[in-house]
Amino acid sequence: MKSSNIFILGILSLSGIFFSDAHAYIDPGTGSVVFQGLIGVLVGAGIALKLYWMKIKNYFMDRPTKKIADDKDT
Amino acid sequence: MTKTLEPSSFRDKSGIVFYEDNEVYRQVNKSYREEFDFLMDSGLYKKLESSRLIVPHVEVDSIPENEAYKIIKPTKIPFISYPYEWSFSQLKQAALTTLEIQKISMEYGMTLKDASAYNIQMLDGNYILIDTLSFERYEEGQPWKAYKQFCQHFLAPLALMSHQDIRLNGLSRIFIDGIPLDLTSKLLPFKTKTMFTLLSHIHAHAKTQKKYEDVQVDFKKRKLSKRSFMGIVQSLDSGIRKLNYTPEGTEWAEYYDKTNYSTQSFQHKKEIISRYVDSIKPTQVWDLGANTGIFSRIASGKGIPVVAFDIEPAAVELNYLECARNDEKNILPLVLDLTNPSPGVGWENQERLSILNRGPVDTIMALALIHHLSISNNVPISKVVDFLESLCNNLIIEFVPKEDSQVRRLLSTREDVFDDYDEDNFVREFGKKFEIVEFDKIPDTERTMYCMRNKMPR
Repeated sequence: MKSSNIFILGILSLSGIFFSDAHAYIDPGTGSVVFQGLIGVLVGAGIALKLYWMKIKNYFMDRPTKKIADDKDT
Repeated sequence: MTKTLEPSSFRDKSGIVFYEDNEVYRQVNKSYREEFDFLMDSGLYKKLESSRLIVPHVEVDSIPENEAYKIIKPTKIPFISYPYEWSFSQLKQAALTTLEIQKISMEYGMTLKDASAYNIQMLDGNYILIDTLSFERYEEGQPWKAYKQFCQHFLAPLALMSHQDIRLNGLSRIFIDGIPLDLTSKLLPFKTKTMFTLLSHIHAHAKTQKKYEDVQVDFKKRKLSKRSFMGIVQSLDSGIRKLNYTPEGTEWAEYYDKTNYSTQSFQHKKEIISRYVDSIKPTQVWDLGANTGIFSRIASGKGIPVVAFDIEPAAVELNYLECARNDEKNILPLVLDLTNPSPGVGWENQERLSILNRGPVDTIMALALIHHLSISNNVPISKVVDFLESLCNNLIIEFVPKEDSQVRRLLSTREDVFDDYDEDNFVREFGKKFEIVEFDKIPDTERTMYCMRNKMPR
């Protein structure tokens, strides 16, 4: 199992969601809205990490190019 | 002028759809005025229209009455189809179209307030949104109200088709607001719990729904950041792109490999059909039992809109992939079991129309079909005549006699109780309702092609 999947299982288990067994009156949207809050944090963090990773990657990728450009200027 | 309301247009108070003089109109209600103006003034509508993601419309010069703010006239969709009639890739494309619209909407400060698969239809070979009133302004912190509906209408059937059985798309016919996620979760194999998209948006989502069934939640305190909102949409997009289905190993997808046609007789058959189509000049064709659409393309290639029905999802999938590959605009492949065709479903059985109620059509092609109806399914020829007569003005139909190897194959496993299945009876029964315009023996086969005209045009 991928680490991201283990992470989500962990979050959901801790929040008492994944293994709960509640039942009763129907409110079709409530659970979905609550779930968006949970999954949204996870995928939102994923996007943020991806963006930072791209920035770091670009920083190192750009350095040689910049150096060559600087060399050309001089 | 008679104004008829669209039977499925009653849930959303933003407006109504109605028909007048065989044209379709959408009334925008005053209560939706600000959202509609924002859609039009923000540039979102223009962007979606130029990207071929929304049905184009024009505003109608009329004096709005009562609660109406404006009347718009959208481009008419040639044939309304439903998700339970789509192949895997058709539903997948409709899902990705919905998510693309959602992503673009966010750039313009709007969001989809619903994500019904029924709002997506095919126009000129593209899947587009037909409900122009599906948008609302986005406010930072709000959740995606259409999230649950999207998962039920798109993700659930796609996951079931991809990971369990292609035939499970039929569940969408039973559950008009999409397949419930708890049921989807039960039906999916365990391995899907190791896949992030399905673990989260189906299994865990279903568990959360169950947990909060009877819980009061203060939604004002439940804020969803824009980044999280976009993350959910992106996660659904990438997860759906990973879902796949390979049509192989099924009966009809390999049909032409097994058939007894020689290359020459196959060509003759095509030429006969082409000549009949030229003489009829149909405005629209339904090809019943179209398989992968080889003969449908004779008509669609002449610029005639064709709906190509087949019982086999694999054949429809191959047909659609061919359409997408070649950017074909005139052909719509659909899954349909003629012995149990799509019924009227939803409120008063009228929200989603039956196949019969979506007719009649100018011309029907029924090629190599009659033996499957009459022998495989015990439908008397007279009943086939009644069915076709109620649906079309012109008919191109192939008679396949008992001597044909395909019919012999059908009869090899069962007793031949079909005494009236012969060409004389076929001609007699069809002659009661249709005028036989011409017929041709297909060279090197036992088969005959007929071109007929309904004596009581529809």
